Amino acid sequence: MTHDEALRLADAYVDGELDMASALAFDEHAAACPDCAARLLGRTALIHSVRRADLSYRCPDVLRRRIERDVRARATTTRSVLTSPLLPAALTAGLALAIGGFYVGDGRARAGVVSAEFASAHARALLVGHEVDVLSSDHHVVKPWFAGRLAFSPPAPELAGVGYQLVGGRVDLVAGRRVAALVYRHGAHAATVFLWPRDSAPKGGVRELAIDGYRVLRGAAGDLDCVFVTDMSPDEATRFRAAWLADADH
Amino acid sequence: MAGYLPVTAESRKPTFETVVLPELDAAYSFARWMTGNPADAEDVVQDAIVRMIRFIDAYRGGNARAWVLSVVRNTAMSWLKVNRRPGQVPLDTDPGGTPGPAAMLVAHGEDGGDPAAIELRRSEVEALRRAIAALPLEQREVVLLRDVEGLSYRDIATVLGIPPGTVMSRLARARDVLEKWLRGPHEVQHDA
Repeated sequence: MTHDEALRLADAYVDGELDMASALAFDEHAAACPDCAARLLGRTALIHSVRRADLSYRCPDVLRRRIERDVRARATTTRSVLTSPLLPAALTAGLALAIGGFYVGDGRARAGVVSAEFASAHARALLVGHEVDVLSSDHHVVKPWFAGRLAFSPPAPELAGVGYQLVGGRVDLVAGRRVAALVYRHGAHAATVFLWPRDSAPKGGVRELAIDGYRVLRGAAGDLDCVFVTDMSPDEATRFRAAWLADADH
Repeated sequence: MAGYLPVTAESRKPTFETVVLPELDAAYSFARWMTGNPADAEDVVQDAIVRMIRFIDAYRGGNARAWVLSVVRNTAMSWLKVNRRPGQVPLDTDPGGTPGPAAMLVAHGEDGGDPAAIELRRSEVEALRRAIAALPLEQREVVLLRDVEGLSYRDIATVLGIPPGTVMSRLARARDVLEKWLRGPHEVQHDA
């Protein structure tokens, strides 16, 4: 290691940010170079002084309490909206507005309406706390459960390894059809994957859109069409769909 | 509170409570150093908190402190743009402020109660505080993130949006200045 290099890397050395080989090369140089040895001493002393002085400030209690209160208030608001008896009506009105706004004059308006029905089915199930009829994170339990209730057999991938916990499944009625609904959890977020045979899908299919904070995405698994509804962020929703479809293919 | 699903599957999704609240001290301290006074620091922290509540989904794991500080830093930079001329940061008019635990320790006994030693330590702490506050912003923030908040070069690079090599060179320049400053007018003895 040249002297200039050693000078340049002295801070990284002191901070333990050098890889093993560079650190050894630095040691070798500093052992024979009084300048670099002195620099190391100066740096070590300075860093020690800064740590010992503890120049950080503590968050004032008043500010901390205000922030904690705001966060609690936010959580309470969320809960009260979710449990409000008016929500279904509000949601439906919101959906109607959203669809009206976006799809008036659109020849494929029907597809938007079907998407909204899925979003509504997802929200309604969460709202009434009846999101699953079979509660299991084991696809060996969930898959057979559907067998006696539907004419088709939906896949039920377990995605806990990539952060999406299978909660269970139910049979739902959307757009006049019996569909399989699989519910997943991702932290505070929930997702429902709806499945139905492609040949029974309504005309126009389903549109991908965002309604009232829910994202509706489409996919296909074998001869089944899938609709993903979730309150995850757009990126996270896309990731979830990719993970789900990748596993459903097996 | 988090999660309105009645099913209590184990949740590993980071929430505001688990990511941000434990880093409130770091957030406030960094804001205080960036703005130079307690009132502005509070404004910046509150602003940053609002952003973090909205964008908690953007947190992708990794060092929570680095994520929190990057939001605080962005907020502080916008704040400084509006409220200050670039590069101008006043010395904290209340340097004692709310001292951290180690500063209390220094004041109350690490030096065995010897009044002369305590006084020396106090003046050393004060000198350091002033020296760091006098650094140009881009050097000051690197020193704070490394030597006060303990972030790695890689995390600092992420917070500041600069390459790790630049972190290293800024840190070296900043520490050169601090060493000189401390040796110069104050003749502080490093007795350890």
